[in-house]
Amino acid sequence: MEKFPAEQKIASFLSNYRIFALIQWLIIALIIFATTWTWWHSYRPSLKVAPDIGALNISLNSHAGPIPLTNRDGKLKLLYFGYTHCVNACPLTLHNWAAAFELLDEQERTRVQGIMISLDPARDTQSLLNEYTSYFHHQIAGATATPEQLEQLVTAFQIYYQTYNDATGNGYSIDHTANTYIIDDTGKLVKVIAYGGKGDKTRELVKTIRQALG
Amino acid sequence: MLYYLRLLSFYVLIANFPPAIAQDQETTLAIENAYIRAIPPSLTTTAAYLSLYNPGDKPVTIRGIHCDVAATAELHESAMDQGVMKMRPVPELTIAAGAKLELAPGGLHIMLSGLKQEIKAGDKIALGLNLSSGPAIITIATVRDMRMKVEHDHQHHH
Repeated sequence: MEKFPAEQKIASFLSNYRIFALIQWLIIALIIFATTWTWWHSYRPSLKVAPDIGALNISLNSHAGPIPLTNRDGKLKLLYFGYTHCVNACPLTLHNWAAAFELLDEQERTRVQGIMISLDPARDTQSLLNEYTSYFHHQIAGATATPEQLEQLVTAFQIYYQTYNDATGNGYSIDHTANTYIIDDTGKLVKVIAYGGKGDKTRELVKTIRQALG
Repeated sequence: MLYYLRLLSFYVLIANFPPAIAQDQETTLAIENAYIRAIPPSLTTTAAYLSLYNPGDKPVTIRGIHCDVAATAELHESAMDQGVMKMRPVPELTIAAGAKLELAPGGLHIMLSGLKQEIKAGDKIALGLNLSSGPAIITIATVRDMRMKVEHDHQHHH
């Protein structure tokens, strides 16, 4: 049976399925490239230099008195740099800490201490800090550091923070690194946990605490 | 041969699949599940969250927020940038026709600052959303204690 020219063209094009194979491989290559690229550029908390807090001999100030960071009290310390006017990252992080603390058994719970260090000494009084952090959990303290000590801590943990003035007269907010830093009682860094992201952060925190407590 | 044709038609299908679009309705913007994060009494800054849905066939733009108990109420967005949390005001927010938008912890929210009164879990607080056209929409937000209620892992402890 004779075919019309157009029909012949279509038939020959379709029979040459290599074009579809090529398209498919191109799509697969694109997916692999995109995944790799996203992974490579995604934020993974890492400190170029391991912070040496032990050498700094820092003692923070809190409503309940001084909190020495390296006093070998057998407690694992969770550090977060934040401020009480913060409405998103800080409460979400402290909620997560509190949930993790509640998942620990009593023995483990006596060996952890959460500390939010204020990046906003101008507004965060000791009593406000205490009210804010203890609202989440009684084992989370709000603390301030002297300007020199804050500078040392921020440098050691490679924290970025910058005041952002809201043009609409809403006061200011602070852009800040939102990681949780876990240190042992000698000031040695145990782990950095990034804010948010995928997975169950509470379970991740519980697992890390348990591993560190041994 | 047939396999590749099917494969191709599948790509075409997912690329052009029409999203579900609601029929025209009177409502310009539907608001659901509005709530405000409860905070300790001395604090004066918090956030409100809600779910928005535009059932109409035209985009709707929110130009501003009003809340009686706060000195300022503004749309803000928090976002992570290389591990740094940044919060920025959002001057206006457009919800496309048929679109849903979630204001939820960690992202878009209504920032309430300079609270004039103490707010407690369970309190009902009115929020007014000013739109680019038409009357403002009022919704009632419930103050919610967002501290997680964690169930203890009984199998390990008992």
